[in-house]
Amino acid sequence: MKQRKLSVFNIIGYIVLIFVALVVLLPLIWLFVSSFKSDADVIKWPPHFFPAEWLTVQYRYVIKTIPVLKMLRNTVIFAGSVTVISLIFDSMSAYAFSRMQFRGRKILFNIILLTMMIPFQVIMIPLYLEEFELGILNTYAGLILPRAASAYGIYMLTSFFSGIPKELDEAARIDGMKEGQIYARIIVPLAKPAMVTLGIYHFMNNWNDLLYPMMLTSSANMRTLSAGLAVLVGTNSIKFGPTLAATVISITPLLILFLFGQRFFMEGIATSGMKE
Amino acid sequence: MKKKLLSMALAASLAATMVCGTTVFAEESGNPITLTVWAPFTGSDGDVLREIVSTYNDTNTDNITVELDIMDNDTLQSKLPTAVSTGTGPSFVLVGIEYVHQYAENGLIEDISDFWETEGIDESNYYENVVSKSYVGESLYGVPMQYNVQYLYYNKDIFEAAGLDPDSPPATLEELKEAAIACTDADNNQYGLGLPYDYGAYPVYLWANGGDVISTDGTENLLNSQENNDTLTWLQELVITEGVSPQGLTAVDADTMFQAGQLAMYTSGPWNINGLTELGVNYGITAIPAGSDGAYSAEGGCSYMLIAGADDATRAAVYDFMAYWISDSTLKEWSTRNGFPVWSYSLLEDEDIQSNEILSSVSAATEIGRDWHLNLTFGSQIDNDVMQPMMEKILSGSDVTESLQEASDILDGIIAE
Amino acid sequence: MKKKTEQTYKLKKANSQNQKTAYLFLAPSLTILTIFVFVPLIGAIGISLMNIDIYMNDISFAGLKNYLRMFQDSRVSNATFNTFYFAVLEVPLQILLALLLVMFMTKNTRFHKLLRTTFYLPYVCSMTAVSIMWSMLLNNNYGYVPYLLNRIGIRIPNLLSSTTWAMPTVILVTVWKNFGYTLTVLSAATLGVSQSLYEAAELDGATGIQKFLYVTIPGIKSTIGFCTVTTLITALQVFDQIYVMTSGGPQNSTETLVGYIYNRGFQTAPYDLGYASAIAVYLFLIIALLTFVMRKYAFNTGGDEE
Repeated sequence: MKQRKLSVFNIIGYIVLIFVALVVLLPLIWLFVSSFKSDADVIKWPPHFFPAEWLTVQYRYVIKTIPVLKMLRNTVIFAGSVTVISLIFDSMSAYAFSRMQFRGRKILFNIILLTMMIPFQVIMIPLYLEEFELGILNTYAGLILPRAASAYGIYMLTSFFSGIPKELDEAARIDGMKEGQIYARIIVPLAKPAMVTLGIYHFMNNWNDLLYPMMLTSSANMRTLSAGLAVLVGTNSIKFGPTLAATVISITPLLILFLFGQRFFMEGIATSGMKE
Repeated sequence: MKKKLLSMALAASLAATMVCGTTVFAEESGNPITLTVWAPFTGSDGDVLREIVSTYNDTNTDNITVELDIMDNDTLQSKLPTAVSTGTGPSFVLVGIEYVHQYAENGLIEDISDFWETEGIDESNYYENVVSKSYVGESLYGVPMQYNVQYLYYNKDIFEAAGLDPDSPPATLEELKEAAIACTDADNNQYGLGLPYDYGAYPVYLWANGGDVISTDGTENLLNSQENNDTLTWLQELVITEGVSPQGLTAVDADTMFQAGQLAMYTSGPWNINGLTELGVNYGITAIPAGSDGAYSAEGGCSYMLIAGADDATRAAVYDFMAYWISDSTLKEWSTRNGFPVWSYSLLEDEDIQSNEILSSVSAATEIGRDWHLNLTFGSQIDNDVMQPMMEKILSGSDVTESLQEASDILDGIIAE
Repeated sequence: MKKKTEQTYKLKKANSQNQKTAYLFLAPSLTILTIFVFVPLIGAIGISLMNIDIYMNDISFAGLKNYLRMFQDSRVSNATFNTFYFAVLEVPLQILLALLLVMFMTKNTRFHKLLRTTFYLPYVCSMTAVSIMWSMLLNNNYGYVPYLLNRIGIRIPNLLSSTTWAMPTVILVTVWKNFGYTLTVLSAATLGVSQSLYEAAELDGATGIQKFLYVTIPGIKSTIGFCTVTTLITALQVFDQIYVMTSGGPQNSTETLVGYIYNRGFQTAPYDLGYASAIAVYLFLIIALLTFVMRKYAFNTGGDEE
């Protein structure tokens, strides 16, 4: 039935898509192969794409210099907890904003939005002092709690929840379902793609965050992987070789996770497409 | 078995303290204590620092463990004051000597004037100009960790290829200019002299011709002078007319270009020696060339400082580590592996030190050190708000007289505050 | 009569019950955001009214002094300009590129899935890592990009140390890293657009572009609005990539407001926290104003829909 001819539109489409894909992939491939170069090879002119000789010296240096595994554990605990807790809290708030009538709804929503507009550099000193008063400085709690709810997440989920037809939960309400049940059994499952997208967003952002964990931890043992690796990157004299290896080390777990979760992730999107 | 080991350790530590000859029984050994130290040593010198600290942890007999926490200087500086005021800071820090005065004035660090006596170390064994940088008035606030000035690095291979004698690097600014022009081959990405705008390389040129930026007591603005105008015009010509340096060069770029053999000469501190040697670059180090007024080089260095609020046990343990650092064997390892000049008289006698080619050229080139606003609390402001913008403008071709006037006005404002 | 009051009463009761539930749903997030964002923010506003440095000795009340000082500081206006320069170019580029690609991948085929994964990859990397990578690739002295261009006869200036090119370069690197995320969010929304609408359009003989313009775009309008607002908010706070790639230079041509705040508060003596906080409050007001204007007039998104 469907016409399978290649229109001009489709041809241009393929060209654009493949071009952008190359622009995305080539630098990343360069990054990966260059992490196996020697220090001298990295800054050689004329440059070569592939290493003159494949070496693991940069990786050995990174692993020798910082406790990669311990930092990896910290990062997983930190980013993992934040993602799970924040998804729960964000979706609860989003449910209230998109499905319930209550006084001050609009004002509260705008107030929450305001919290997105504050750069961390501005509040880091007050936050540090506050965490000190609360006694959670340099603890997992101190790292996780400030990120346990996010205005971005609330905004995003409210936006998605609003798109889910109201008839569904009205029917459920007539069947006598409580709000908690509607939230957990109808809205959240339907918003799975948005939830997964947001979950990945939270996980990556917290995984990659630098200044935040640096400020709120005061011992190297509590530091996250990205923060630990950033330390290898000098300001006075940058060590280019280890920098590349450190970058690869910090993104590899994410890539693996992403590629594994991708089936679920993309399926989530697909389900939403077949909704109607 | 364990007991035996413990008593042996005790005996050993007792013996050690007795050998030191002071406070034999006051020393409490055996109680484990963990110290944390923050340090902005993110470069290759940080690797050596890590190793030395770990050796100290393995070998010290007082059950002291030093946990080294390396972070970039910006993070360290933004965290430290708040951390200290809440008592969540490190036991001690290792930072640039330009911070001694502001830390001391703001109560961030402890007076450690009793250090020499407590540890039984002869202060006069160390260069006076090095140790004095850690004093505020009559009180000692830091123990020097390293001392350095700026040097002229030059690539011997490029010199030879350009027909210059690799064993006689430029000694005057005129020779510097000639060599820079001879070594420049911009089409092949090769430049004669790196002139970064964002790094404190400029005072050495200003001083060489008799100019200056500010009086050492920080009260007098010396920037807008004919000498400086001439020197800056000369620098501008080098970059713009002669093209011996890439425009808009940053210090990090200059480091990298020199490492890659694309830069024949540039000025920098000794922290690049280690990396350059590892890369196998055929380079030499010499003193900053002389101008009409002589040759001068900006001093710098780092000191260990004890964080305010330390209890007696912490103080004693930190002293112990500081003393370990300025022992000849540690200083020797630091100097030989990183190329930092020696500042201990007894170590100067050491054979290995005397026969080390890089070290002897570095030490010779260190004699022209000059104080560069190290004791001014607004030193970083002069760098960031006055000199860097000015150098950036001049090196990219803006009018020298105008830029100088503008910078001088800003400096006036800073001094007035 | 009686019956009616009873009914209203019941309704009211149900309503207040409902209100309570709503607040219960909101409680965790509100608590967290109040404690960890608003309290520190009030702290920062307080600081902006003080003469205070990072060492927090000799604190005194400054009134509006720090705010008045901003008007004479040319670096504040320069940073304001740069912040807008960045946002005005970066936000549309990121959204339009994502939209353009979405236009070509409305089907959920294997190839499109693979592409979506590919485009998402840069977003997985940290901004710091991406910035370092691009600084190296673009460096005139050992970078691969200038080398390739040289080979085909194009000599480019050192992009990151040129006052003209540094900001556009930073913008492009930011787009490179972030467009994949926008694309994913938009894709998710696109796939939610009813297939029957496309079929109807096809029956009317609509071309690919027409279908996109008249079916897809209206269908994902609120998501586009959401992406624009959030990207704008992030763009106005740009810091990491500039800190790594140019540190605000050359000649402050890439210094943004957050960068200047960081510089005043933490990098340059006298570490004037009071002044830095005043600039921060100013930035905060700019962002808040812009966001609400945009939300009100340009888009109808989020919680106050209907």
